[in-house]
Amino acid sequence: MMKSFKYLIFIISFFTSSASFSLSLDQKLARVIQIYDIKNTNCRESNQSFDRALIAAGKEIFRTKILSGGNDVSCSTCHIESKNLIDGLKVSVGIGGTEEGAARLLSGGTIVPRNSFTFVGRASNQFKAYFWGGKIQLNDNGIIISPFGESVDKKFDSLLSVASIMPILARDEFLGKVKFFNESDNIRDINDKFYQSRYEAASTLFKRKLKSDGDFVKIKDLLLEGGINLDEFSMADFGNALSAFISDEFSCKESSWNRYLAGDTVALSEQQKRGGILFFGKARCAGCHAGELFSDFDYHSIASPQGLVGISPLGQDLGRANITNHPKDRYKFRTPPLLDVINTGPYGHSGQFESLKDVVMHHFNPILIFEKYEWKSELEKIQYGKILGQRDSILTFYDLHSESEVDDLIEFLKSL
Amino acid sequence: MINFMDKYFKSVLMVFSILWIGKEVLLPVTVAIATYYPYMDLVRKCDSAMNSSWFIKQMDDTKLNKTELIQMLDCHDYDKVRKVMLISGLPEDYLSYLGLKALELHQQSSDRIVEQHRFIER
Repeated sequence: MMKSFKYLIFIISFFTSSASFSLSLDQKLARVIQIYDIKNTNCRESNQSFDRALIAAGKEIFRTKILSGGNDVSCSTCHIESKNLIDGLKVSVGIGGTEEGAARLLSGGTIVPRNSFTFVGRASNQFKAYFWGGKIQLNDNGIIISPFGESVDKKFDSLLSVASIMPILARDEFLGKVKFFNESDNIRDINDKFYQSRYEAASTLFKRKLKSDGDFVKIKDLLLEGGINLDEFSMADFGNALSAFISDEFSCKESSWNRYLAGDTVALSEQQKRGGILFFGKARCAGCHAGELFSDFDYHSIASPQGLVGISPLGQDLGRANITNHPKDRYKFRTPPLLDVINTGPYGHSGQFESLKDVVMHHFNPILIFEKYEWKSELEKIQYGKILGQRDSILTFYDLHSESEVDDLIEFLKSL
Repeated sequence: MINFMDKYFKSVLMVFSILWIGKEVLLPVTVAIATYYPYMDLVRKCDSAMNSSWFIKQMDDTKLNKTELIQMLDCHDYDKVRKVMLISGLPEDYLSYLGLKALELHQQSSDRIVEQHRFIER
């Protein structure tokens, strides 16, 4: 009698247990992994090629300020190692700036009108385009497309090497201001309308500086130790050294998501698992934030507000159209990879989203941000309609129904 | 012997009675209680997934196709729960009723809709 009763209880509890009703979260994520063919690749094995002998030189070049026209900016100025390789500002401050954080914005330096990005995952061989507008990119035939043209990329070890030297040749980031007198060598010699000429001029200038026994002696010694022949020095050597350092030091960071993919099913919380299913499913995030780096390296608009500054005329930012000059590319930006995204705010090309929730919600509803947004100028207010008109149609297909789903999604993003 | 047969018959009858009550009453009632809200939630989710799928298929956008597949897992869950409910003895009419109720749950009550039109003060 008792035995029959126990069987009955067992049968009832089997039918009423939640596991029997639907797929478990892990089972659903297994389907996600299968459908998207997600692999847990070893980050270090999937880095772009680099020369380990140049790591020490790259470290010195990354941290020194003597490459800038005013001796006041290094790569580490905007990619601060203690701040997850960002500066934490909406937009960066280049030459002439002092200090860190909000104080730097007030220090009178030159605004670099885009949000700085982290280096986590930047050395991956899956990385196909650098910078917000994708001015350095690998085309489908494996050819590097850059403002330098095809003639100067022979010595570069990788796409990251090419991208690494771009700031050194940029007027607002490194070169300095054009002046009638007391102008730096960098701005006088390097500044040119065409980047190809800047590349040649910078190669000549830094070769001269490396050969003189001045401030550059440490970098010279490290480059020589790395096997660089100074008689044949070009900016590609700086790029190769920087990319070696970035690849070795910053690019790889194991996330909870990586651990989950490796088989550790408790690496993600239940909420993160729910968020992951939403991310790859009805939130449609994976439509653009695809692949190992969570970017399709394509160009989209979420209609981010511009703020006060931008690289295009009148402080606007035309995004990808600055590179292609094509009207369909106006206000579009490269899909940002999402590795370490929780630690790399503010968000968006102009840094107008303070929190991860702000930027996630903006994908779903571009009106919400404006409840607390202060238009930075009359121009921005008048121009915003054009930006909104370019908003990607893929954003109309999400199918979330509650704020708790958004919270789940954000929890998942924290695991990347 | 008759006494033993009587006892044996009664025991068997009791076991079958318990099993019958379990199968015909306890199991359906328990499953009905346990699945009441989850089933209605899945009706809504699957309805939404099928709706999205319809439009995404027409777009034929490779970026969206995989997301649509994942969302359709909600319909797999819906089907699975539905089968469990049917196997448990719940009638199909009851499931249809819950389906309708699921849609009602997500409709606004007339009270809430008219409230905003009332004068608060004059």
